[in-house]
Amino acid sequence: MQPNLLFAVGIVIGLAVGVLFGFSIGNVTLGMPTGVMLGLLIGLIMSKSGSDQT
Amino acid sequence: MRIDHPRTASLLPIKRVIFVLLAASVLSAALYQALRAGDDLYLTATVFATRFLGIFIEAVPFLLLGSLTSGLIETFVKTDDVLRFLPRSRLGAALGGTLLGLVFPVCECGVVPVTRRLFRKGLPLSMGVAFLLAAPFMNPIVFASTYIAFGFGGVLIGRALLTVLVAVIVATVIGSFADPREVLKPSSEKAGEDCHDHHHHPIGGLGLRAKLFSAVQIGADDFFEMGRFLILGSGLAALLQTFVPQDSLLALGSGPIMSVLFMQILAFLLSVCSTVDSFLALAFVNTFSTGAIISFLSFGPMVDIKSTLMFTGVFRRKIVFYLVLLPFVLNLLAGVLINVALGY
Repeated sequence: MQPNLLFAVGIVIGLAVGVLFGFSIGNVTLGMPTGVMLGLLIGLIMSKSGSDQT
Repeated sequence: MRIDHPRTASLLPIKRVIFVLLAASVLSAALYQALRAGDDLYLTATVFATRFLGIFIEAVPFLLLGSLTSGLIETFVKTDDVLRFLPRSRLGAALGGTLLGLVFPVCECGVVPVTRRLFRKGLPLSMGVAFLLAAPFMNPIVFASTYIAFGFGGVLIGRALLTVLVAVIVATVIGSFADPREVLKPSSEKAGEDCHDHHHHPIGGLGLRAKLFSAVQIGADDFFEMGRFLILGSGLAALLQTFVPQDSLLALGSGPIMSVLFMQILAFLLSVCSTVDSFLALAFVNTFSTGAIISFLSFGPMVDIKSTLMFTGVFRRKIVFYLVLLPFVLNLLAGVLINVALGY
Protein backbone atom coordinates (compact mmCIF):
# COMPACT_ATOMS: atom_id res chain seq x y z
CA MET A 1 0.00 0.00 0.00
CA GLN A 2 1.09 3.60 -0.52
CA PRO A 3 2.47 5.41 2.54
CA ASN A 4 -0.24 8.09 2.28
CA LEU A 5 -2.98 5.48 2.26
CA LEU A 6 -1.36 3.72 5.22
CA PHE A 7 -1.27 7.06 7.04
CA ALA A 8 -4.99 7.53 6.39
CA VAL A 9 -5.72 3.97 7.54
CA GLY A 10 -3.70 4.61 10.70
CA ILE A 11 -5.63 7.83 11.38
CA VAL A 12 -8.95 6.00 10.99
CA ILE A 13 -7.87 3.12 13.25
CA GLY A 14 -6.57 5.48 15.93
CA LEU A 15 -9.64 7.70 15.76
CA ALA A 16 -11.96 4.69 16.01
CA VAL A 17 -10.09 3.30 19.01
CA GLY A 18 -10.08 6.73 20.69
CA VAL A 19 -13.78 7.30 20.16
CA LEU A 20 -14.63 3.79 21.40
CA PHE A 21 -12.44 4.46 24.42
CA GLY A 22 -14.39 7.68 24.97
CA PHE A 23 -17.66 5.73 24.88
CA SER A 24 -16.33 3.16 27.32
CA ILE A 25 -15.41 5.82 29.88
CA GLY A 26 -18.57 7.79 29.14
CA ASN A 27 -16.69 10.84 27.88
CA VAL A 28 -16.53 11.14 24.10
CA THR A 29 -15.11 14.67 24.40
CA LEU A 30 -11.97 13.11 25.88
CA GLY A 31 -12.04 10.18 23.47
CA MET A 32 -11.89 12.38 20.34
CA PRO A 33 -8.53 14.12 21.01
CA THR A 34 -7.13 10.83 22.32
CA GLY A 35 -8.17 9.24 19.05
CA VAL A 36 -6.63 12.06 16.99
CA MET A 37 -3.28 11.75 18.79
CA LEU A 38 -3.34 7.97 18.61
CA GLY A 39 -4.33 8.15 14.94
CA LEU A 40 -1.43 10.49 14.14
CA LEU A 41 1.00 8.17 15.92
CA ILE A 42 -0.31 4.98 14.33
CA GLY A 43 -0.61 6.65 10.92
CA LEU A 44 2.97 7.92 11.12
CA ILE A 45 4.32 4.52 12.16
CA MET A 46 2.36 2.68 9.48
CA SER A 47 3.29 5.09 6.70
CA LYS A 48 6.96 5.16 7.74
CA SER A 49 7.28 1.37 7.88
CA GLY A 50 5.33 1.17 4.62
CA SER A 51 7.75 3.54 2.90
CA ASP A 52 10.74 1.59 4.33
CA GLN A 53 9.45 -1.59 2.71
CA THR A 54 9.04 -0.12 -0.75
CA MET B 1 18.72 8.08 -0.56
CA ARG B 2 16.81 4.83 -0.32
CA ILE B 3 18.80 1.59 -0.27
CA ASP B 4 17.15 -1.71 -1.16
CA HIS B 5 18.15 -4.84 0.73
CA PRO B 6 17.25 -7.98 -1.24
CA ARG B 7 17.40 -10.32 1.76
CA THR B 8 15.23 -8.14 3.99
CA ALA B 9 12.77 -7.57 1.17
CA SER B 10 12.45 -11.29 0.54
CA LEU B 11 11.62 -11.93 4.20
CA LEU B 12 8.87 -9.37 4.43
CA PRO B 13 6.18 -11.27 2.47
CA ILE B 14 6.65 -14.30 4.79
CA LYS B 15 6.22 -12.08 7.83
CA ARG B 16 3.18 -10.47 6.26
CA VAL B 17 1.61 -13.84 5.49
CA ILE B 18 2.22 -15.06 9.05
CA PHE B 19 0.76 -11.92 10.58
CA VAL B 20 -2.23 -11.91 8.25
CA LEU B 21 -2.94 -15.60 8.94
CA LEU B 22 -2.60 -15.08 12.67
CA ALA B 23 -4.79 -11.97 12.65
CA ALA B 24 -7.37 -13.71 10.44
CA SER B 25 -7.57 -16.72 12.76
CA VAL B 26 -7.91 -14.57 15.87
CA LEU B 27 -10.56 -12.39 14.19
CA SER B 28 -12.49 -15.45 12.99
CA ALA B 29 -12.38 -17.01 16.45
CA ALA B 30 -13.42 -13.67 17.95
CA LEU B 31 -16.38 -13.21 15.61
CA TYR B 32 -17.46 -16.81 16.14
CA GLN B 33 -17.32 -16.40 19.90
CA ALA B 34 -19.15 -13.06 19.78
CA LEU B 35 -21.94 -14.37 17.54
CA ARG B 36 -22.25 -17.64 19.43
CA ALA B 37 -22.51 -16.01 22.80
CA GLY B 38 -24.76 -13.26 21.44
CA ASP B 39 -22.50 -10.66 23.01
CA ASP B 40 -23.11 -6.98 22.56
CA LEU B 41 -20.62 -6.12 19.82
CA TYR B 42 -20.60 -2.47 20.77
CA LEU B 43 -19.64 -3.32 24.33
CA THR B 44 -16.99 -5.76 23.10
CA ALA B 45 -15.53 -3.09 20.78
CA THR B 46 -15.24 -0.55 23.58
CA VAL B 47 -13.58 -3.12 25.83
CA PHE B 48 -11.14 -3.93 23.03
CA ALA B 49 -10.36 -0.24 22.47
CA THR B 50 -9.70 0.33 26.17
CA ARG B 51 -7.43 -2.70 26.43
CA PHE B 52 -5.56 -1.78 23.25
CA LEU B 53 -5.00 1.74 24.56
CA GLY B 54 -3.91 0.40 27.94
CA ILE B 55 -1.21 -1.75 26.35
CA PHE B 56 -0.13 0.60 23.58
CA ILE B 57 0.02 3.94 25.42
CA GLU B 58 1.80 2.37 28.38
CA ALA B 59 4.45 0.85 26.15
CA VAL B 60 5.14 3.68 23.68
CA PRO B 61 7.35 5.83 25.99
CA PHE B 62 9.62 2.85 26.70
CA LEU B 63 9.96 2.08 23.03
CA LEU B 64 10.78 5.74 22.34
CA LEU B 65 13.31 5.88 25.18
CA GLY B 66 14.90 2.61 24.06
CA SER B 67 15.13 3.81 20.47
CA LEU B 68 16.78 7.09 21.47
CA THR B 69 19.28 5.31 23.76
CA SER B 70 20.06 2.94 20.93
CA GLY B 71 20.72 5.88 18.61
CA LEU B 72 23.00 7.58 21.16
CA ILE B 73 24.99 4.41 21.79
CA GLU B 74 25.27 3.69 18.10
CA THR B 75 26.64 7.18 17.50
CA PHE B 76 28.88 7.82 20.49
CA VAL B 77 30.20 4.42 21.71
CA LYS B 78 33.04 2.91 19.73
CA THR B 79 32.94 -0.87 19.49
CA ASP B 80 36.74 -1.12 19.63
CA ASP B 81 36.77 0.53 23.06
CA VAL B 82 34.43 -2.14 24.41
CA LEU B 83 36.31 -5.03 22.79
CA ARG B 84 39.51 -4.00 24.56
CA PHE B 85 38.20 -5.51 27.80
CA LEU B 86 37.34 -9.00 26.49
CA PRO B 87 37.68 -11.96 28.91
CA ARG B 88 39.83 -14.87 27.70
CA SER B 89 38.08 -17.99 29.12
CA ARG B 90 34.98 -19.40 27.40
CA LEU B 91 32.77 -19.18 30.48
CA GLY B 92 34.07 -15.70 31.28
CA ALA B 93 33.37 -14.64 27.71
CA ALA B 94 29.83 -16.01 27.92
CA LEU B 95 29.22 -14.19 31.20
CA GLY B 96 30.75 -11.04 29.74
CA GLY B 97 28.51 -11.39 26.70
CA THR B 98 25.41 -11.30 28.86
CA LEU B 99 26.62 -8.03 30.43
CA LEU B 100 27.53 -6.50 27.06
CA GLY B 101 23.85 -5.67 26.69
CA LEU B 102 24.35 -2.92 29.26
CA VAL B 103 26.80 -1.25 26.86
CA PHE B 104 24.75 -1.86 23.71
CA PRO B 105 21.12 -1.61 24.83
CA VAL B 106 19.33 -3.11 21.84
CA CYS B 107 16.12 -5.00 21.34
CA GLU B 108 15.97 -8.44 19.70
CA CYS B 109 15.62 -6.80 16.32
CA GLY B 110 18.73 -4.65 16.60
CA VAL B 111 20.88 -7.24 18.34
CA VAL B 112 21.40 -9.40 15.24
CA PRO B 113 23.26 -6.84 13.09
CA VAL B 114 25.18 -5.61 16.15
CA THR B 115 26.30 -9.18 16.94
CA ARG B 116 27.38 -9.72 13.35
CA ARG B 117 29.36 -6.49 13.47
CA LEU B 118 31.00 -7.58 16.74
CA PHE B 119 31.80 -11.03 15.28
CA ARG B 120 33.52 -9.31 12.36
CA LYS B 121 35.61 -7.31 14.83
CA GLY B 122 36.80 -10.53 16.45
CA LEU B 123 34.33 -11.15 19.29
CA PRO B 124 34.62 -14.75 20.63
CA LEU B 125 31.81 -17.08 19.56
CA SER B 126 30.53 -17.81 23.07
CA MET B 127 30.49 -14.10 23.95
CA GLY B 128 28.64 -13.21 20.77
CA VAL B 129 25.98 -15.90 21.30
CA ALA B 130 25.50 -14.87 24.95
CA PHE B 131 25.14 -11.24 23.86
CA LEU B 132 22.71 -12.22 21.11
CA LEU B 133 20.45 -14.06 23.55
CA ALA B 134 20.78 -11.89 26.66
CA ALA B 135 21.09 -8.34 25.31
CA PRO B 136 17.38 -7.90 24.50
CA PHE B 137 16.71 -8.20 28.24
CA MET B 138 20.01 -7.11 29.80
CA ASN B 139 19.62 -3.39 29.29
CA PRO B 140 18.35 -0.57 31.50
CA ILE B 141 15.19 0.08 29.50
CA VAL B 142 13.92 -3.50 29.78
CA PHE B 143 14.90 -3.65 33.45
CA ALA B 144 12.88 -0.46 33.99
CA SER B 145 9.85 -1.65 32.05
CA THR B 146 9.86 -5.01 33.89
CA TYR B 147 10.17 -3.15 37.21
CA ILE B 148 7.28 -0.80 36.35
CA ALA B 149 5.09 -3.72 35.28
CA PHE B 150 5.86 -6.23 38.03
CA GLY B 151 7.74 -4.31 40.72
CA PHE B 152 10.89 -5.57 42.43
CA GLY B 153 10.13 -9.20 43.11
CA GLY B 154 10.13 -12.76 41.89
CA VAL B 155 9.30 -12.02 38.26
CA LEU B 156 12.05 -9.42 37.76
CA ILE B 157 14.71 -11.46 39.58
CA GLY B 158 13.55 -14.72 37.97
CA ARG B 159 13.62 -13.15 34.51
CA ALA B 160 17.15 -11.80 35.01
CA LEU B 161 18.54 -15.03 36.46
CA LEU B 162 16.88 -17.26 33.87
CA THR B 163 18.02 -15.04 30.99
CA VAL B 164 21.64 -15.07 32.19
CA LEU B 165 21.57 -18.81 32.93
CA VAL B 166 20.08 -19.81 29.57
CA ALA B 167 22.30 -17.41 27.61
CA VAL B 168 25.47 -18.67 29.37
CA ILE B 169 24.57 -22.36 28.90
CA VAL B 170 23.64 -21.98 25.21
CA ALA B 171 26.70 -19.80 24.52
CA THR B 172 29.05 -22.25 26.27
CA VAL B 173 27.56 -25.25 24.43
CA ILE B 174 27.71 -23.59 21.00
CA GLY B 175 31.13 -22.09 21.77
CA SER B 176 32.47 -25.52 22.76
CA PHE B 177 31.10 -27.63 19.94
CA ALA B 178 30.75 -25.31 16.95
CA ASP B 179 33.60 -24.26 14.70
CA PRO B 180 33.67 -20.44 14.74
CA ARG B 181 34.35 -20.46 10.97
CA GLU B 182 31.19 -22.53 10.40
CA VAL B 183 28.82 -20.32 12.35
CA LEU B 184 28.31 -17.29 10.13
CA LYS B 185 26.98 -17.60 6.62
CA PRO B 186 29.66 -16.78 4.05
CA SER B 187 27.39 -14.19 2.46
CA SER B 188 26.95 -12.43 5.78
CA GLU B 189 30.58 -11.30 5.72
CA LYS B 190 29.83 -9.03 2.81
CA ALA B 191 26.13 -8.57 3.31
CA GLY B 192 24.50 -5.23 3.91
CA GLU B 193 23.13 -4.39 7.30
CA ASP B 194 19.81 -5.74 8.52
CA CYS B 195 16.83 -4.05 9.98
CA HIS B 196 18.10 -0.94 11.72
CA ASP B 197 21.19 -0.44 9.73
CA HIS B 198 19.94 1.02 6.51
CA HIS B 199 20.46 4.49 7.93
CA HIS B 200 23.95 4.01 9.25
CA HIS B 201 26.63 6.06 7.62
CA PRO B 202 30.13 7.09 8.64
CA ILE B 203 29.86 9.37 11.66
CA GLY B 204 33.41 9.34 12.95
CA GLY B 205 34.37 12.76 11.61
CA LEU B 206 31.15 14.57 12.45
CA GLY B 207 30.78 17.35 15.03
CA LEU B 208 28.79 17.01 18.23
CA ARG B 209 25.70 18.62 16.75
CA ALA B 210 25.77 16.38 13.69
CA LYS B 211 26.35 13.32 15.88
CA LEU B 212 23.36 14.22 18.05
CA PHE B 213 21.26 14.72 14.95
CA SER B 214 22.43 11.37 13.64
CA ALA B 215 21.61 9.71 16.98
CA VAL B 216 18.09 11.15 16.94
CA GLN B 217 17.69 10.08 13.31
CA ILE B 218 18.79 6.51 14.13
CA GLY B 219 16.52 6.52 17.20
CA ALA B 220 13.55 7.72 15.13
CA ASP B 221 14.17 5.02 12.53
CA ASP B 222 14.37 2.38 15.28
CA PHE B 223 11.13 3.70 16.76
CA PHE B 224 9.24 3.48 13.50
CA GLU B 225 10.80 0.11 12.71
CA MET B 226 9.62 -1.35 16.02
CA GLY B 227 6.41 0.66 16.21
CA ARG B 228 4.56 -1.56 13.76
CA PHE B 229 5.41 -4.64 15.85
CA LEU B 230 4.12 -2.82 18.90
CA ILE B 231 0.84 -1.92 17.16
CA LEU B 232 0.41 -5.50 15.93
CA GLY B 233 1.39 -6.98 19.30
CA SER B 234 -0.91 -4.65 21.23
CA GLY B 235 -3.76 -5.37 18.84
CA LEU B 236 -3.29 -9.12 19.04
CA ALA B 237 -2.98 -9.06 22.82
CA ALA B 238 -6.07 -6.87 23.14
CA LEU B 239 -7.98 -9.18 20.78
CA LEU B 240 -6.92 -12.23 22.77
CA GLN B 241 -7.89 -10.60 26.03
CA THR B 242 -11.24 -9.38 24.72
CA PHE B 243 -12.48 -12.28 22.65
CA VAL B 244 -10.86 -15.47 23.86
CA PRO B 245 -12.73 -16.56 26.98
CA GLN B 246 -10.60 -16.77 30.10
CA ASP B 247 -11.87 -20.33 30.65
CA SER B 248 -10.38 -21.43 27.32
CA LEU B 249 -7.06 -19.84 28.17
CA LEU B 250 -7.07 -21.51 31.54
CA ALA B 251 -7.83 -24.87 29.91
CA LEU B 252 -4.98 -24.39 27.43
CA GLY B 253 -2.60 -23.14 30.02
CA SER B 254 -3.47 -25.41 32.89
CA GLY B 255 -0.84 -27.65 34.38
CA PRO B 256 2.78 -26.93 35.16
CA ILE B 257 4.03 -28.02 31.73
CA MET B 258 1.28 -26.92 29.33
CA SER B 259 1.09 -23.41 30.75
CA VAL B 260 4.83 -22.86 30.15
CA LEU B 261 4.66 -24.44 26.70
CA PHE B 262 1.68 -22.30 25.68
CA MET B 263 3.27 -19.06 26.88
CA GLN B 264 6.53 -19.80 25.07
CA ILE B 265 4.68 -20.48 21.82
CA LEU B 266 2.73 -17.27 22.37
CA ALA B 267 5.97 -15.33 22.93
CA PHE B 268 7.36 -16.76 19.70
CA LEU B 269 4.27 -15.91 17.67
CA LEU B 270 3.60 -12.44 19.07
CA SER B 271 7.19 -11.29 18.44
CA VAL B 272 6.76 -8.31 20.72
CA CYS B 273 9.76 -6.06 21.39
CA SER B 274 11.54 -6.87 24.65
CA THR B 275 11.16 -3.25 25.79
CA VAL B 276 7.41 -3.64 26.02
CA ASP B 277 6.70 -7.34 26.53
CA SER B 278 6.42 -6.97 30.32
CA PHE B 279 3.19 -5.02 29.88
CA LEU B 280 1.78 -7.76 27.70
CA ALA B 281 2.84 -10.42 30.20
CA LEU B 282 1.17 -8.42 32.96
CA ALA B 283 -2.19 -9.04 31.29
CA PHE B 284 -1.66 -12.80 31.67
CA VAL B 285 -0.66 -12.79 35.34
CA ASN B 286 -4.03 -13.94 36.63
CA THR B 287 -4.41 -16.55 33.92
CA PHE B 288 -1.04 -18.31 33.82
CA SER B 289 1.42 -19.67 36.36
CA THR B 290 4.47 -17.72 37.54
CA GLY B 291 6.81 -20.18 35.81
CA ALA B 292 4.96 -19.63 32.53
CA ILE B 293 5.18 -15.83 32.87
CA ILE B 294 8.93 -15.95 33.64
CA SER B 295 9.51 -18.33 30.71
CA PHE B 296 7.50 -16.01 28.45
CA LEU B 297 9.62 -13.04 29.52
CA SER B 298 12.90 -14.93 29.21
CA PHE B 299 12.25 -16.84 25.98
CA GLY B 300 10.41 -14.10 24.03
CA PRO B 301 13.34 -11.66 23.81
CA MET B 302 15.75 -14.47 22.87
CA VAL B 303 13.79 -16.06 20.04
CA ASP B 304 10.68 -15.04 18.14
CA ILE B 305 9.45 -15.03 14.56
CA LYS B 306 11.19 -11.87 13.44
CA SER B 307 14.50 -12.59 15.17
CA THR B 308 14.55 -16.18 13.84
CA LEU B 309 14.12 -14.85 10.32
CA MET B 310 16.98 -12.44 10.94
CA PHE B 311 19.14 -15.26 12.38
CA THR B 312 18.79 -17.16 9.11
CA GLY B 313 20.20 -14.17 7.25
CA VAL B 314 23.37 -14.17 9.35
CA PHE B 315 23.96 -17.67 10.74
CA ARG B 316 24.05 -21.08 9.10
CA ARG B 317 20.86 -23.14 9.37
CA LYS B 318 22.32 -25.64 11.82
CA ILE B 319 23.29 -22.86 14.23
CA VAL B 320 19.89 -21.20 13.84
CA PHE B 321 18.27 -24.53 14.72
CA TYR B 322 20.29 -24.74 17.94
CA LEU B 323 19.75 -21.03 18.69
CA VAL B 324 16.00 -21.68 18.67
CA LEU B 325 15.87 -25.20 20.14
CA LEU B 326 18.25 -24.82 23.10
CA PRO B 327 16.66 -21.65 24.59
CA PHE B 328 13.21 -23.19 24.05
CA VAL B 329 14.05 -26.42 25.89
CA LEU B 330 16.00 -24.72 28.69
CA ASN B 331 13.30 -22.10 29.33
CA LEU B 332 10.63 -24.81 29.28
CA LEU B 333 12.59 -26.85 31.79
CA ALA B 334 13.19 -23.84 34.03
CA GLY B 335 9.55 -22.72 33.84
CA VAL B 336 8.32 -26.20 34.80
CA LEU B 337 10.81 -26.36 37.68
CA ILE B 338 9.65 -22.95 38.95
CA ASN B 339 6.03 -24.12 38.79
CA VAL B 340 6.86 -27.31 40.68
CA ALA B 341 8.92 -25.40 43.26
CA LEU B 342 6.03 -22.97 43.83
CA GLY B 343 3.65 -25.90 44.24
CA TYR B 344 1.56 -25.21 41.12
